[in-house]
Amino acid sequence: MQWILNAILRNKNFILFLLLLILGLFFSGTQSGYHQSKISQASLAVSGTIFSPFNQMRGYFGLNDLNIELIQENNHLKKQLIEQNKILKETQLENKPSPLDAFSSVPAHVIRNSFTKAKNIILIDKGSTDSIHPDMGVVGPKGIIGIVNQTSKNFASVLSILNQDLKINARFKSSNVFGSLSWRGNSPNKMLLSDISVINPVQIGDTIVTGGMSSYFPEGILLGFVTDFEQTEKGGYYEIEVELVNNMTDLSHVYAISNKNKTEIEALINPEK
Amino acid sequence: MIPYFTRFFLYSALLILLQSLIFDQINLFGFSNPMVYVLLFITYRFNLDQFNFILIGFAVGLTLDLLTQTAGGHTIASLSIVFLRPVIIRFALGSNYDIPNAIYTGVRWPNRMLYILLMLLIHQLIFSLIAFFSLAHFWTVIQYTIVNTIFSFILIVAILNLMSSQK
Repeated sequence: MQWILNAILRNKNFILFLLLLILGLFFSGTQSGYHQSKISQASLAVSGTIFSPFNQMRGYFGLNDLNIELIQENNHLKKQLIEQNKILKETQLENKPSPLDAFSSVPAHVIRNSFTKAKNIILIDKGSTDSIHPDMGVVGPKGIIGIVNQTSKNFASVLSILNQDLKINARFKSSNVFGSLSWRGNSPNKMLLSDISVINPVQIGDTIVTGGMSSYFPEGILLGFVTDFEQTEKGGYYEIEVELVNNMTDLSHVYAISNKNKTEIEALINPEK
Repeated sequence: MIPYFTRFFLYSALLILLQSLIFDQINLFGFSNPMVYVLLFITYRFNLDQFNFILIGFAVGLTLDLLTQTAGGHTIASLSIVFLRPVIIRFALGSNYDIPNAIYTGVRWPNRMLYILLMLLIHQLIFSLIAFFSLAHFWTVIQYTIVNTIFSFILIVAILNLMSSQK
């Protein structure tokens, strides 16, 4: 004990300097957005390097479950492919490009996932060298995960859909009624669909899919099912509770997708930019 | 006779005000502003406690950052220069490092100039690095550092000469 106290006293100037330096850097981060983004980029690289080996180790123990999940996903995709081919043959539209052609994807692994905070962030093990860039959409085997926020060389941080800052364009599968899906911060498998006018019929069990209004995700990806709904206090709109099909607390392999037509679409939406 | 710390406090307040109101608005060549407040750290007595000096450096830097709306550059640069000062003193003044008022008397002028120049150069380098915060701007950082150091050096040597001739 005496030894520790002596060491602290001997180096008190250096310890004070370090503490104040950390305080200064923290101040620098809060004072300017530019510094904050640079500091968070550096911390992303550091935490990515730390979490990556742990995650790889944990990954070995989960291989069994992962295989089952992949088989299920393959099955599902095969079914989709067969169905799509059938439709194409029926309608003789082979030459027309599918809307999915506009998207390219990069597979990645989740190395850190949070779902208990108000603004949850996911880290993935692919970064700018793997052509991941900010604003790419991220989807999992069962649905959407989030949007890429920042990238370092080998890692990227993703704003989870369980992030109160994020709103996702969503619609009913059966009709073309659009609304925005957001997270209220309580349960990681419940989200809120708002801006749906009361003139539209809503039933418990209705399927909600991504709408094509945002350029982050392809249209029609399954999001979840309606479990509850009520009119807002002001009336005129529904607040719809949606249960996600994707288990956001158990994420492993994901795909970052980018829309090749994104800049073109955004130039049309915001012509002044 | 006013105690040293009271005098130093008043002198700090004056220099911080001058720095934020006048010297930060000069914009020589469009970008260069002299860091005259480093004079505080250059002239602080050599024989006083380093622990207090680090706290003073932090407080002065933070006040300037808040006044000039800069993102921590003054704080980190001041803190570092204050922490490194004993090393700079030993390097520049050699065996005379323990003379309390060496900045005015008792040391040959080339050593004194070297001490001032090193203090300014290191302070300015850290300040520019924090301000740009990116290695992509490395040459701009070097350019800012050199020009600002020369500009500050001229002003500070002039002020020191005035002060010593008054004494």
